[in-house]
Amino acid sequence: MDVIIAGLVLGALYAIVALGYTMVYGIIELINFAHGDVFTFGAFVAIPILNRLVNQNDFNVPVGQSIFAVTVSVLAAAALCGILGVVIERIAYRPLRNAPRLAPLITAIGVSLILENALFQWQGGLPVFTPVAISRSTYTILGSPITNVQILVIVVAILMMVALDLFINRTNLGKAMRAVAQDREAASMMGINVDRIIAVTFLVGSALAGAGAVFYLLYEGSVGYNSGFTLGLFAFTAAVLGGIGNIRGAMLGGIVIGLISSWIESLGNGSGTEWYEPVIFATLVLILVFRPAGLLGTNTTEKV
Amino acid sequence: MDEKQPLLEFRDVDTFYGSLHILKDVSYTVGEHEIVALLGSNGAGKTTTMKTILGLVQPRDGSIHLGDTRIDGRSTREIVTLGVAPVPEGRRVFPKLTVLDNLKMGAWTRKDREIQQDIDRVYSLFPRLAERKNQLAGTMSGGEQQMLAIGRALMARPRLMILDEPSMGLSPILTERVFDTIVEINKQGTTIFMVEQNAYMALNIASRGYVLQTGRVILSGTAQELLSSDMVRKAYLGET
Repeated sequence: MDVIIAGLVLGALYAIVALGYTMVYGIIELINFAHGDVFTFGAFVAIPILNRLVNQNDFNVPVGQSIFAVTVSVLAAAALCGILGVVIERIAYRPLRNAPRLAPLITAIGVSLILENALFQWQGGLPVFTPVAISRSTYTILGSPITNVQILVIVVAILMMVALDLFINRTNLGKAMRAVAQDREAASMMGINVDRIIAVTFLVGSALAGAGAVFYLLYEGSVGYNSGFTLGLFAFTAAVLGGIGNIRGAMLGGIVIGLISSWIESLGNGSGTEWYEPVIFATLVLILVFRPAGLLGTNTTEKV
Repeated sequence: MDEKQPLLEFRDVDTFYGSLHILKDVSYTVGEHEIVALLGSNGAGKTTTMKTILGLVQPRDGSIHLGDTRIDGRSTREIVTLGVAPVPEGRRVFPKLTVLDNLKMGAWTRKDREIQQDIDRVYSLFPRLAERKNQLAGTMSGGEQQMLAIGRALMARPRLMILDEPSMGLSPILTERVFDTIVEINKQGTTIFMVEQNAYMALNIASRGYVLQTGRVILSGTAQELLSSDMVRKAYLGET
């Protein structure tokens, strides 16, 4: 049960990041390697805000202060990550819209390296710790301890995923995103501004990563300049597992990857920790070999 | 034709794909409220004509006018917003959106409150679409998708509807129904410019037509003139 709880929390975080990969892939068939670094950027934005808004000498942070600090940092991280995502798309990917697919892919790796180095310059190579923004309290579910932060991460992740699902499936803007994903030229024939819809996709995906980064910080307590890249690879695996381009698949894939990694870590009295990365990437290879369309994907899978 | 300004006019248009010369010095006019047919065999430049109207292919020479507005050089989005609605070759409905959502996408450029009214109008024109409004478009038959593509174009309240091979892949009965609907849409005030391989059907409902061959207009005239021309009879109506 402990393993399941830890897995769900981790999985929820993977899922949120996986959504950004899958949305972008769905609409322009690009694996946006820079996405994980946008996530790190979100965490780095949040750290000074949390430092400022939380009284660091007090281990009993008042609830009101916690809510305020977390809300402000989530909004700031989401907004700035959203803007960063749009800027990346505008300067790095849009000029390559009609280039062969390998060109934007290599560009994405380049953008990732640039961001990572910039993040390194900004905060250095060591992990950056965050103040305790929410005083821990522990509850018991089915005999297992669960912290308020774990509950918060799971609940917020579910809320974000439901909101995204409604946005994609119920609003006209969301439907236009799906229309662009399915047939870009036909969408332009409807008068849909394809470039703007793609920008909105980057905005939403990156903002989710920014918000997710704050909850990652609250849960893990620290972040390094390359944390997002590693987490991004897991999230990417999750997106592929669910069926890349498929929103609900990314959510499911994230949870599954989270559960797998937490289960592997728990094996052998903690000696499994060294093994969860190889196992996850082996999973990725197995999916690509045996079910390349992913769990929820079909060969004509819905993109976005 | 000469006394009033045409709705759509091509003046000496040349287009290229790379170094490949597709449309050669082509001129068409489509008058307000007309149905005009564009005939020609494969590779003659019919679909290129449609893409050129929509700005998906830009002419290298000549100009294209929609009423008073010059539209060559503009983006597809601008051209659609000016009142051109395409029914593209192969229908190009959004396969994973429902019928209703496809219709809503057709109304994307509109901001008025009468969209629901127009959805009902499309449903009365194509009762089959009303029955299937919550079905994914990709799961429907070719004929139903063609109806949806036409309905989706109507949702834009276009001044000019351009249809690329509306009969392609349809049975003769369905083709007839689609053509009846085109006539009905035209009666309600929409100008029609259509590309068709089925010359007989097209000229039956059109007032005028053009025949395109390897990128040049080799014949034009009223539908009656074309139907009785030896060239059209031989090449498109299978007579000897």
